Amino acid sequence: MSRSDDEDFRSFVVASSPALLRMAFLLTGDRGHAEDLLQTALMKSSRRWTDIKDRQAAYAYVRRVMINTQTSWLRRRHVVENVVDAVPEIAGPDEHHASEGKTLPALAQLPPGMRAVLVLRFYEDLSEAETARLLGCSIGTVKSQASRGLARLRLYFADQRACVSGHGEGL
Amino acid sequence: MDADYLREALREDAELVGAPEPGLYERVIAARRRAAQRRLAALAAGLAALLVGISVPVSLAVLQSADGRQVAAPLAQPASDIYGGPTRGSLSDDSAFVEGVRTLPWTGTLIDRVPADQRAELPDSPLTTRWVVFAGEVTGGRWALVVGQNNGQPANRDAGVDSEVSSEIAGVWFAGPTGASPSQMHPVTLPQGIATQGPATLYDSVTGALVVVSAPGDSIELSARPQVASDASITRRYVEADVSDGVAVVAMDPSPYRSPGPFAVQYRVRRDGLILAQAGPQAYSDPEPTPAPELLLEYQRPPSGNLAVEPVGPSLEHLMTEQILAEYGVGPEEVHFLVHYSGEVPGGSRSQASVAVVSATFPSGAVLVRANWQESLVSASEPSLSQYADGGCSNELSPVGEPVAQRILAIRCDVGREVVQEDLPDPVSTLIVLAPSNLGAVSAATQLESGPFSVFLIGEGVAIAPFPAGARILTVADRQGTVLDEVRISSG
Repeated sequence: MSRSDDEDFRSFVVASSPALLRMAFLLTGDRGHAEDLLQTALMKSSRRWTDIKDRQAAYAYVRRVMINTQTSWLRRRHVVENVVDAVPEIAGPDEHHASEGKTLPALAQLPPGMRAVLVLRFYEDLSEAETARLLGCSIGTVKSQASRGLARLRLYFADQRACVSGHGEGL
Repeated sequence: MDADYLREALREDAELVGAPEPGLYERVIAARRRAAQRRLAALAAGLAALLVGISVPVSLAVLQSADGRQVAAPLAQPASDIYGGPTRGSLSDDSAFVEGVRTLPWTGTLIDRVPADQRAELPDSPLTTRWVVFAGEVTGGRWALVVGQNNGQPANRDAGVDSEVSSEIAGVWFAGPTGASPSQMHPVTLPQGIATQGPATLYDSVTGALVVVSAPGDSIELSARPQVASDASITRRYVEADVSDGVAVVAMDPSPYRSPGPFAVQYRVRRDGLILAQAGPQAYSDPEPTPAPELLLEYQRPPSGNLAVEPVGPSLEHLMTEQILAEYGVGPEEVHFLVHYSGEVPGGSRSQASVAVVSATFPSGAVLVRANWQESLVSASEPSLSQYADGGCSNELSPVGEPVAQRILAIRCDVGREVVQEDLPDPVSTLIVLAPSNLGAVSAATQLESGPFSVFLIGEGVAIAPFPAGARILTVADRQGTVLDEVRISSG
């Protein structure tokens, strides 16, 4: 990159990384993984920075790289390491996995693709067509994934309410 | 719960992550540089020196304390006291040893193997600015970390965009045998800019010796290896290390297989309960490494003209299997390796490139399939200096399932990707399809925007072709047209 590109990229990172990190956090549910995802996506994007003619679209470009990277990591699986106090027989939860927040525990129950659809549709406010393009799937898939995702979240929250209510009755 | 509630809740939850850690831009640039350098490593008798680290500018000077020990005196806002203060380690009280290693030359066998044009960029701190951060006994010998003013002259230093090289201090790790005198100590890392915000580390996977130098008061946790479960998930457990003055000297399990990293071992440094750093340690580069016992590999089909690093050097698949052992911290008796393919990649201007596809089946039954490429490079300044570039094509871990020898594999390999060298041609994308030979002649096809695409696998069940742009899934069919499988093309 030329010096002006470097400065341009630096400015972009400073200005856009908070928003990108928030999205990465919703995609991963874990601050450490979100930081890794963002850093990797920015690193990949920096290699193509001089080719990104429309700087207005840079955010969308990095967002796309982030989605692709997250998909790739989940596919490879080995990149996603869970940190546990004791190694279980099968995967255990990451000790830094987000357990707080209204939606994060529920999102963690969803398949990665469904989670990405919900984040893109309802956090990034992308249209169904934009979401489909970004995820490389059909609009119909986005519709069905969003619908099922919402249904599963509703079910999750209903179960949580029932659980809390049950505990309350026992006290 | 409706969509509006979800929107609001997502926004609230997203705020929980807070702001990015400071220095993100510097970490991105450093990571990019590391990725490039990892694939362009000078190779001579196993030399693999990776430059790692992130840094922020800090001005330091060296003073002599009353008792003659050196004290690094920060002149302006030190980022941390990891590199300041008196020498630490079990040999810190041996003032003759400390002074001896402080004055050792930063040149030697290791640096001689770096091409001359790159060598000129490496720092060689003036003697008067040097001090010893760590000197101590470790498993199998003595180690010392010497730092000083960073006077390296990389081409991009003036741009100030790469904090690795724009750091104001640089350092070298020295190593020697047990009881070594200073004259028996030699550099085992290349001189490089130091990440003053983060810890200094050195790890010799062959002896298991590991040193993590952080600031006094920091806690250090170690994870020996990741655990691969049958569902292909990975867990990692960290255990707090014994720390003295911010330094952990640890004996991990040794392995005869040397690797430039990444390693199974990971460290984590906490300060005030917060994670300051979490990464793999820096590799110890033995100038005269002991050859590892050669792994007896099982080949699914005969290798075809694989390009060895050197005429008598290890093959690409051997390098890959050794790397997998180092990366997952397992012994060859714990993993079943199968070489699915090893051969040259035809086409393009990179005629010397080769590719190997190796699978590793872990005790849990999970299977790692990794494809790497490798090509020879000739240094314009020193044609006699052997160099190679390598990189990954794909790397996928899958749950226990169909034996990997029975699987049909489709891989995209971009030879030359991430190699930063202006006089090299663009990466060449190749499609590799591998099928068990007992399937007989099969075809792998897909429909692209440009029209239908198909390749035929005959003989050993291999097809190699220029990568068809846009291809993602291949339909594999037998001679009668019966569909056998649909295979997703894996890539990096």
